[in-house]
Amino acid sequence: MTGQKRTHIAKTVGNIIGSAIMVLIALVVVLPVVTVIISSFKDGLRGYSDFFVWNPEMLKALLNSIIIAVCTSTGTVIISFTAAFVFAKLRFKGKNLLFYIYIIVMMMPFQVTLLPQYMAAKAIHTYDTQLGMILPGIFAPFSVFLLTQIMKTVPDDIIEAARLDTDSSVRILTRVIAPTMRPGIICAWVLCFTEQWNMVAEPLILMETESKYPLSVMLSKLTPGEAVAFAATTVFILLPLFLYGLFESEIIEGLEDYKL
Amino acid sequence: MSKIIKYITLILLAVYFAVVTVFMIFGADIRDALSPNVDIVYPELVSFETVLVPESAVMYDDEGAAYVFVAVKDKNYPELAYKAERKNAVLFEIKDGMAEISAIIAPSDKVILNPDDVPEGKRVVIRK
Repeated sequence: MTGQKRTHIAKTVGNIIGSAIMVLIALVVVLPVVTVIISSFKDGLRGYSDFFVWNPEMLKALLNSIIIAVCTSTGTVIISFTAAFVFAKLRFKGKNLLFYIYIIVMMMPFQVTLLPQYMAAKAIHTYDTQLGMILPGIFAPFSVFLLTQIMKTVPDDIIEAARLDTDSSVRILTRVIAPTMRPGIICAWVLCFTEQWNMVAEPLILMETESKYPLSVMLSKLTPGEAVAFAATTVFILLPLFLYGLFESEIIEGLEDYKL
Repeated sequence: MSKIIKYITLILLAVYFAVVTVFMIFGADIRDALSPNVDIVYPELVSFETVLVPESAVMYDDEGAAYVFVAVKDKNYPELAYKAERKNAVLFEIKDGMAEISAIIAPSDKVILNPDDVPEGKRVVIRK
């Protein structure tokens, strides 16, 4: 057997083993989701009728989740996009230091910032309101970091050419840079939406009225093993899943093209 | 292919929001339509052996035996729903529209006032 043939066989075997491991990992990730979806139909549609018809507080929690996640992710993208422009394209003293502070805050576990968030919410009277959840989320540093890295890839020539037409930075941001960064912006929006959608600890600290809780918190109130609990979990996981399906190419492009 | 997946996802997303919106707006009406609405009354304790309930709450089976329906919570039922449970009783006396029956029910039991519309063991909604 020639050396070339042996290398080819080793490569094929390696590929098969690699694929098998990836299939196994995919199964580990997908199986719980599939199990939940299948279990939600164990009593026919009763689980869903219990969720949608007989548990109005769960439906209210779903609405709370949608409001909090949509407002926070939209606000985050607007704030982060402008902040990213400043970090990536403007020159001023202390810019790097400020950016490092952002990165340090990003690296911190969220539990560290929970107590200051609680104290701030009490001080500005946003405690136990949805605004108290949305405001800290809007200024999350991860999106700023992500969009800054993406904006660094936008050529300065485009901005300089746009400056010949207008002096307005807002116009340059919305008309020139935003369309160029579309996949990155959508990617940041979806990632932020998913993060807000899944949060559990923050609402428990920043809210006390049960009717204001998002669905992520209210799921724990359902009896485990019941069809309604599986149906509620299915409803909960479907929205991020649909968003991923809808923006799949943008998310992949946003993370891949900018080498993130 | 990816465009087709995108369109399918968009349709599913629209359906998702449509379902949520419909149940958010008409949830209470659907609930009322699905299960009989009942009025309840708490029995009045007369003695250790008997309680007073409105005469309309007492039903009679084919053999003439008296019974009442009580709305009970069941762990398998969601928060708003109750289950109509039959409780056999001995009727002692009917006076001024009130029936004195054997104390098979406690003063805290929710006795259904309009038992004619109630299927036994099925979900009922207590009218506010």
